[in-house]
Amino acid sequence: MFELIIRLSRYLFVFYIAYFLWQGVRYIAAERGLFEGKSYGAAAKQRIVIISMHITAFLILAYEPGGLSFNPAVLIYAAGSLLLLICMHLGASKLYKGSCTLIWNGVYFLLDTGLIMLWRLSPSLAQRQLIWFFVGAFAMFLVPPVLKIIPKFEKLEILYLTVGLGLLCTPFILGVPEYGALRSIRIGTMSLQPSEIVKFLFVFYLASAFRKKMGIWHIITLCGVSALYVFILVLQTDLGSALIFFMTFMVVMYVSTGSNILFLLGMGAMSAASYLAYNIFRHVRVRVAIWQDPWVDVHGIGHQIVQSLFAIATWGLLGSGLTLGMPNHVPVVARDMMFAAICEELGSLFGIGIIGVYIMIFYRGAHIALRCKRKYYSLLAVGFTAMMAFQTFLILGGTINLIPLSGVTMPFVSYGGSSVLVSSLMIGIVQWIFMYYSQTQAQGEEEEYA
Amino acid sequence: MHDMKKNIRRIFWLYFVMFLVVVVYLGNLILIESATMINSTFNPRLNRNNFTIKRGYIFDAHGNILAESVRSGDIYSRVYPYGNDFAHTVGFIGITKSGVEARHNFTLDNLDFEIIQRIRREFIDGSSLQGDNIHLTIEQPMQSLAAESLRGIRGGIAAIEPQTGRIIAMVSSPDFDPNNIGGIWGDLVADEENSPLLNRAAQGLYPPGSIFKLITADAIMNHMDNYEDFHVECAGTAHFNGESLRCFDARAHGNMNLSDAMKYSCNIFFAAAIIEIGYDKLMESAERMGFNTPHPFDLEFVISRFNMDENADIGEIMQTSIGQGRTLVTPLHMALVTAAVANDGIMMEPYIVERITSHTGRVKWEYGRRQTLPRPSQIFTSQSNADKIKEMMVEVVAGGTGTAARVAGITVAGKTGTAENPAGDAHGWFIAFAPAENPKIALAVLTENTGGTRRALEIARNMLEAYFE
Repeated sequence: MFELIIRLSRYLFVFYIAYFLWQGVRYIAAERGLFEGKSYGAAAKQRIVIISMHITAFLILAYEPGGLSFNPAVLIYAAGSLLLLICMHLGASKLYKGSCTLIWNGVYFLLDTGLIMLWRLSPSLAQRQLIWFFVGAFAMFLVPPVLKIIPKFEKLEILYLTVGLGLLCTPFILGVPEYGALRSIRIGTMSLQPSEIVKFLFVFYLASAFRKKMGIWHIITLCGVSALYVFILVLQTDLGSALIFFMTFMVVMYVSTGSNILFLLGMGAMSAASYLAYNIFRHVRVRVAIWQDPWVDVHGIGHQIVQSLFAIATWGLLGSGLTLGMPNHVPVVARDMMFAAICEELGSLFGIGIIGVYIMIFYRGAHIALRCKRKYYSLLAVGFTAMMAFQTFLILGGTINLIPLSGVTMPFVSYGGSSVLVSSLMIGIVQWIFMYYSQTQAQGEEEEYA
Repeated sequence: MHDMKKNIRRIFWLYFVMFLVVVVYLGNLILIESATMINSTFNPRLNRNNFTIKRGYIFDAHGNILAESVRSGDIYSRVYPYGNDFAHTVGFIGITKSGVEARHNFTLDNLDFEIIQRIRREFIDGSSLQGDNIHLTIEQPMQSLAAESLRGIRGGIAAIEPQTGRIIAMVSSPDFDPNNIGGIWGDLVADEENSPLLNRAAQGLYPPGSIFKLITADAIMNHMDNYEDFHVECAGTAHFNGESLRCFDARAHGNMNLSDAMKYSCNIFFAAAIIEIGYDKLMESAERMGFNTPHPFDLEFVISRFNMDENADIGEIMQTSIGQGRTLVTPLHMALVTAAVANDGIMMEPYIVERITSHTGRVKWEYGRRQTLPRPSQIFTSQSNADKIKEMMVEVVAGGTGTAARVAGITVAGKTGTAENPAGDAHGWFIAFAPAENPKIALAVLTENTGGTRRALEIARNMLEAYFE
């Protein structure tokens, strides 16, 4: 009986995400005047979908076979996390007045999907994730006041550059090896990847540098500096971050200069660098070899990706139904392979829907960049959106073996403190830019272009 | 600034295309690639439903039940009514899986209209959840006969319908009882001498011996303009550049042309002819025949190997031309070659699953429904060559080395082979098809270490007699 209900619930989950995305489309259509109706109505419906999904999923997770009894611990967790989501929403609408509702809803949806899957995979991880969730939300709420008190922070490019590079080099001195890679430092009991903090400094630096009109030497210097970042990351065997940094640089440069030649030159340089890296670094060759044929060593290095493929492909489009799959057979599933777990139990259609939610967020990120009147803010929005977009692409593509797997996390969904914190802060900054412009526009204030 | 807006839009479309690629790739993974991938033995989900639902039936071509799930309490156990006979084809489930049970595991476990089945079980009549059924091409009487005829020796048999590639029977000996796989598993794995788990028909590699002369004859006909006038005087033993070669029992066959040499299996003629036209011509014929190239097939199989290169000395060339050397073949592949001769030189892709039906009998998949039939996998040779080889093979059974396989009222075409091997006495081969005028069945029989072809001929005759009864 219970199995029947779970099987039926698969259709419900697909309905939830389809309805959620449909309301997103309606929101945008209404905003553009293509559609009769109020956009806030659509946004409210999206939030109702999230709450319904939350309740459905946790009722399934809490159910104890035999009779009509539910595990109280799960119910408490479900209520607590729902409360936190609601508080986050209230806080956001208070502290980020006039920010983009669609992005918030997308983030809530992803966070909630992450919590559901995490509880299913490992309740203890889900509990810890909730703490990170709280920390992330709190940090995010600090973004507007902090950015307000720093005057003219676009002028600090030298500071961003030196601090960024300095931080990035700390693992060479203070580093602790983790999975054979030297990319973390240890503070107390916490291990921290400096590259996560440097992401912010890097985007601030790029936006500051590119906001001005530039001569050819300036651009060459910028390329050199960015190449240095990427090179250090490759040395730390953090290939995923190296690619994210590089692509972010390319995107900001393209948006700022609009030069196709520079873009092509950059891609050419990347190809050459990839070729060199492939020949020089063993870990690069190993990654590529697994990608080309994960079946060669199914018990060894190919194990993770092969198990991920099984999880995704075994159950077809609708998945096995929550709790009926075997996602725990995928190694490091909560950190690296959340997408495989989602596709396995909630269905690949739901997984495709998740991709749709990300597209919605990045679409709104682009929308924010378009509305900015000052180049600096526009480039900030472009930079942070690019960081998240490429990170998402790398992990989704890696999970399905479209591209070599590089252990980056899935924003808002994967388990991990720094992942949640960094993603929240990025969204916070992007939203702050939007809010800033909505407010200044309302005041009729004209900004000059630098 | 206007430019920048254009650039931002372009970058968004870049993201969009990136994620579209992810979606398309994911769809391909789930809808197309998954079919073969998820049956991997490394997939922990393989056993998910094996014993908790009524797994689908496996039927033969006539509807006989080859495998069924029987309920005992809350779980089901798998029963194989024909026991040993289908050990290597239907296979088994349990500690591990093999055969069709492994290849189509998820089909057999798939619940058609699952929601309806579950509602029925919960609220209406408590009936079992039933998986989809598989209908094989194998004909149980032929299969059982073939299995019976190999008992006591090691060997493999494959029988095919030449025009379609449909597998009629496929057995391997020694076999085992899949009903008791849990109890005998340890012994089966430990028995390295007999390796009973190996499906010799599709996975056993053997030197082909004289049956390879079909391929040699094809090369000769293709590359010797006047091959009908090419004669060799066989004295039982011959020397080429210091390497010597003997015919079977050193029998002197006298003056031989191609047809006679085939009929009496004269080694010296074939070696002399290949030395005349060059080894590379032989390689060309062999590769056209499917050596060293994989083809799709539902059961585990190995590819026949033909190894000869420019470094081959005269001894190796001679040996290879008569089916010794480093050439290794499977009985299945030899049956396919025989079937190709029977089918005007066109080799068909072998297949073993005819149909998949739901528990209600609705046909969900059928061989050939999605593509035109028959499905040729290779053009082995021209129709005229095939006809010539066919004539020669008819002669072999009518008055040559294969007379023991004659069947009253039916023209049988065949070829014997005695394959020398390092493991002991020679292996006996017999390949045949019948009726020669309008072939209905082609088969390859291999008997390990029987010293000669008598047993193989007898088995082939019995099978042909049974088939045309």
